[in-house]
Amino acid sequence: MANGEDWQRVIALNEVPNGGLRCLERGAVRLLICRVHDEAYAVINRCPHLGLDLDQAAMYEHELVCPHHNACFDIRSGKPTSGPSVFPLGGYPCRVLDGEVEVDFANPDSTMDRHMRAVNAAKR
Amino acid sequence: MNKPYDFKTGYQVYPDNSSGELGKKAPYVDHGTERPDPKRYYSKEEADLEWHMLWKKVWIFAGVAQDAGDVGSYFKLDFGKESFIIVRSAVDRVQAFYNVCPHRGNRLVHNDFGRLSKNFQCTFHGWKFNLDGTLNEIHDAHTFRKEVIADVEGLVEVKCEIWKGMVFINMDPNPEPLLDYLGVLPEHVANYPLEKMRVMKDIEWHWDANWKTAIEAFVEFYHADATHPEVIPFSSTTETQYDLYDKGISRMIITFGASGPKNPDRNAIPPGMEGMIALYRGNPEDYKHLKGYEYNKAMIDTRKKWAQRNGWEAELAKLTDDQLTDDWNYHVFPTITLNIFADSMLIQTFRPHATDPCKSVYQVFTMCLPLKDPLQHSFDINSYGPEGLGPQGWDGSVRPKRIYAKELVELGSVLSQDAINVPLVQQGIQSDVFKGSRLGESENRVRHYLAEIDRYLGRR
Repeated sequence: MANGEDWQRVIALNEVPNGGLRCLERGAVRLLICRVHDEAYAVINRCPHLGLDLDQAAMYEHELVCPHHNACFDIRSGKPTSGPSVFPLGGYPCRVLDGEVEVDFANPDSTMDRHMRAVNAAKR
Repeated sequence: MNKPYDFKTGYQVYPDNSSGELGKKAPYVDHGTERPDPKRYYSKEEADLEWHMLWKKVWIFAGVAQDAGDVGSYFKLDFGKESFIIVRSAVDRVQAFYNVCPHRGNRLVHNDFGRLSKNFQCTFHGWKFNLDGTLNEIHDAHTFRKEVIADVEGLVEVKCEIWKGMVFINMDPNPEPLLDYLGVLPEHVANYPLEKMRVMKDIEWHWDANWKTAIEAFVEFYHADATHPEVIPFSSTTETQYDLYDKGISRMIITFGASGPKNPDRNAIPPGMEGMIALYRGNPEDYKHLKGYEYNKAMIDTRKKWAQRNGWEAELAKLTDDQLTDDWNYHVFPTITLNIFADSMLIQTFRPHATDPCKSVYQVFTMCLPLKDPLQHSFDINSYGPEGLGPQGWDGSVRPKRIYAKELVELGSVLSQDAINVPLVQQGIQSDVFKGSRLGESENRVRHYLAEIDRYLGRR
């Protein structure tokens, strides 16, 4: 990776409710750690629709629904799946090692990075 | 020598009264022998009549209360040309509204479900509505002349009631109470812990068939021998019990576990049943002494032990031994069937298409009791064998996303077998040479619900 890697432990997996999320802050980074069974995903706690926070978002398996205007995103890719947002939800690489959730803070995958990848993929 | 078949008696699956009054065969209802007019399965006029005189009067299954669990949690129901939002507006209140913004008509909610922190907001011009449907804010209200917006109170509400974890709505402003509408059902299923089940699977499928063509494939078991031959070894297909009740409600009881009468050797343990015992973490070796015709006892014992390990002992103790194994299938007039088992339930819904009477929307919820035993697999009863296995220790906390199935295989093997038939039946019904179904007494639930529709349509 261009920036190298910076994996940091953020929370134990069993502290995140299965089928739910936990809000975390690391410096200026505001994250949601989302859990589906034994998997965890790190997404940015800011809805790309109007920039509102997602603390109260609901989860349906891998779909996260914004509590403000019902924008829906796939937490694996950030892709908007329904509702008013045309932009993806940003995220970070995330893994579970020995029951601990780790996030690679050196490699954010921003809303606009993901959006441009989708735009370029559609052109091909 | 067997007694000759008497259509008024039919078959009784519990002749020794082992399930008491609830399992008894209901008195015969004679709906005659006429063939239903095929036009009711494809005519636009019939569909319009049904919309105004049936659908706008009956209680319609909307979804499961689990999806409106916390304040602000909501789900959407698309039904015919209408769409509805069902939301928990307060701790003790669930309400339903037409999913229509009173400004320009935009749908307020686009997605299947979610949870709102404050209010509904239209994505078009930003009008806001409180969770209880009242108007919260008109964006730039000063730009409207007063008489244009003076009568805007909020969203248009429809009646909404919950029974056993299932949410029903009614477009009629003055319907009979849901519990009265449900007739015998509340008493019949009182002992099943249906309200404690959680969604394990949620699938929607669109059919090139009228909603009635579709539901009629699911209210009789006469089709089992030809369509689901895998069930013959461990079920009684022809000998299924059919019961007709008031208000269009009906039931069939399908036995499960014991070697059926069509097996050449009824002493032999039915193929697949030892695997089913193992699936519920029973030991097939413990039941080797049983004959095939009594092998349901193995399933009864295994289910009781399953209940102990998974924290459902008190609930399942309220059920009869028959109910621990058999499928009690109810048709809740007119939209849903419930396949009720001790530990799970299928809710199958059949909805009319918005514009085309030759299409319909089918949705099936697999509901299961959550598990405590970390080694116990959950199981989707839509499937035969390993494909139906779900996660071990499934606790129901992850609400699965709705699957909009594109391929038959996504429905599970049992439903796929039904799904193959339905659009082909619809095509045949529309043939010039088809003059109406010839219904046997094992198909009397079809006559029964059609008669109830006729009552709503003013034909009786």
